[in-house]
Amino acid sequence: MRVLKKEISEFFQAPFADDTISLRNIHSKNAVILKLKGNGEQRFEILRCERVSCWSFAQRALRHIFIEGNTLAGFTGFEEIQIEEEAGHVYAFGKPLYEASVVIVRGSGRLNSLKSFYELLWNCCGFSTKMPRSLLMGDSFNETLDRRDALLVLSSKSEAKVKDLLEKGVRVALHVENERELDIFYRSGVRSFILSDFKNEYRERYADCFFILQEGDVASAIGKVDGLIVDIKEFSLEEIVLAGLVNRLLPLYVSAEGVDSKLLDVLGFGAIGWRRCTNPVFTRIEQKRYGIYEISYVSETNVPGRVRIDVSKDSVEWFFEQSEISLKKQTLEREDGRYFHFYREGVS
Amino acid sequence: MLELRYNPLTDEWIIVSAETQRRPVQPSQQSCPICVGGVELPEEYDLISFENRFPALKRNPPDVLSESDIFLKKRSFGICEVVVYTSRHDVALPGMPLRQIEKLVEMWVDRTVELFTYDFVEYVFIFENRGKEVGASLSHPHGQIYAFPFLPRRILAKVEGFSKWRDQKGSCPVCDVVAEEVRLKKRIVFETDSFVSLVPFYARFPFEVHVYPKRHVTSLPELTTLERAELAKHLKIITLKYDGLYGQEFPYMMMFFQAPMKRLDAELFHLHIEFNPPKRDKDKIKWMASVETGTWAFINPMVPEQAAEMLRRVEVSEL
Repeated sequence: MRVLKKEISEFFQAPFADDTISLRNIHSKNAVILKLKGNGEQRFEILRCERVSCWSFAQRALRHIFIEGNTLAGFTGFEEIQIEEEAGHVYAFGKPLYEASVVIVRGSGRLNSLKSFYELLWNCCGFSTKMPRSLLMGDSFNETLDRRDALLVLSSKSEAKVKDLLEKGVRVALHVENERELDIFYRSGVRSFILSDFKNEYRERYADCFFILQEGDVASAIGKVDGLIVDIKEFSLEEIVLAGLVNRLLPLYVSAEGVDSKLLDVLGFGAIGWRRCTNPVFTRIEQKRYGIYEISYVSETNVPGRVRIDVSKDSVEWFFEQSEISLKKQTLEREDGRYFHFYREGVS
Repeated sequence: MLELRYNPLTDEWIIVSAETQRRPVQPSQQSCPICVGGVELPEEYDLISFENRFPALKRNPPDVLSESDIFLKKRSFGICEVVVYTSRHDVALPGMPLRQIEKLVEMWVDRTVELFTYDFVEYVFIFENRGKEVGASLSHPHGQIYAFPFLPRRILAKVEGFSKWRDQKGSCPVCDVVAEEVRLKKRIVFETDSFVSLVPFYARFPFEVHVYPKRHVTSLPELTTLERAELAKHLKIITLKYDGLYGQEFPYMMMFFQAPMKRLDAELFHLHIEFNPPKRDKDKIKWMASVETGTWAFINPMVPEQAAEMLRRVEVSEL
């Protein structure tokens, strides 16, 4: 992989200066951050890597990320990004805006590198560093709600309907247009909101609320809100795979209908209006060979399985395993509030 | 009192739980709280996992306030479950039918999956203390599960160990150890297609045994059906060998180390089970004394290869 026409290792060996662009580099433990100040006129080669060995994710919401072996290079703040393929190589060209950054991470494994990339974006590139706060954590935890219940998004904002559902203990989420509307429904007891425009001061004002951003990119949403709605139709399979990884950092909710719900379950997407699949069950993503990704998971009934996604053929293949022993579970709540989970053989 | 207190000297959280002091100690079968008809379980059951009446961590812990910037406290979020293996009071893991242990493995899988869904849970730790030598308070066959709100220090040390090995060698230490041990054979106690039980080269206790899946799996839910059945077999064989070693009920601590699945580096972790028995001879205990407790440095009075040989020689036929 080459960045700004140099081998990655050169950036780690010595401070780097370039005559053609204003550049500042910051060394982290296993990373280099190149900050470029462009005038918006120069278009140049940002990155080049071998197509056959590279994971690349170029969807806007996920930023431009390229992973080759133990090296990840991601960039942000460029205009008119163009990805071109030629002679087995992938090239990325673009114009740097006023504050563009290229982050290079060398580490063990894609997941670690990805995490470092986002941390560096937060810490060194001006993104918020505040971690999302969950509705279900700490003082805000409402004992009467089952944390695994679906988040029901209401299209109607009828106060009577909202009140009725809240009384039944349903987690209700509402689209709100502005803070005035947010405030009204907050007073009615709603604690989950979908917003097009999130302001940091909402955190203090509505400290026990769960905020989902209607639109936005992952990198900037990750430090601010509790979830993000993404349109699955915009994603290629490769990008869905990456979104699955990112989803460990931020719950992503899917706005499109008619998508393969199994695939979404596997990747751990939260799905608005459906049962939210919090996902310890998704276990691993491996690139088996070029263009073929295998995802291991455990179904909600604990049956291990795998799905293989062949990007080149645009096909999805499922492998299920049926457990020989099938246990039936019955959960009782005692008077003192403790849960007792009874297991016996049988189909649940 | 139930709270977490921060120790800045070791960068760790201590669980303060006055409730655990009230746990019953070795009641007779007549007063066993987890037999059918006992105070906890009046109804019939086969296997059950339930929240401990005297927990160290709770789903709804009381509020706490830090005393100052120096003496930090946190609420004791978490779940402590008692896992009852069978309704029979008079058997233990080695004496249980293999089918029952297979069901137990399935139940552990389900508990792991469910407990990790709680937002406040960072780590799910399955374990069993067998025998009064390791502090078991009930003789009815049972284990426990702690769903922690933080990553305990030794788990963190393992995570760092896996990461360091990957950085230096590009591989998984357990995968490498398994390949080498299978080649050498000298520390292996029992081996099947998917698992190997061995006295590790780096054993801390005299008859310590580790059970490793040969395939790189991070946690119990990832095991296939066949692998789960094989794991049950290993647990039975190892505990049978322990009991056969000196012809007595052999005390042990059995601990499941699974990946902290919410971490991005979870895929580096390799599931394994550790048996840490405290005995070093028929009537002698290897105590966790000052050196072990204070420094985490262990002095093992038994050569691991010799321990493996002794355990290999114990014949077991009951399956």
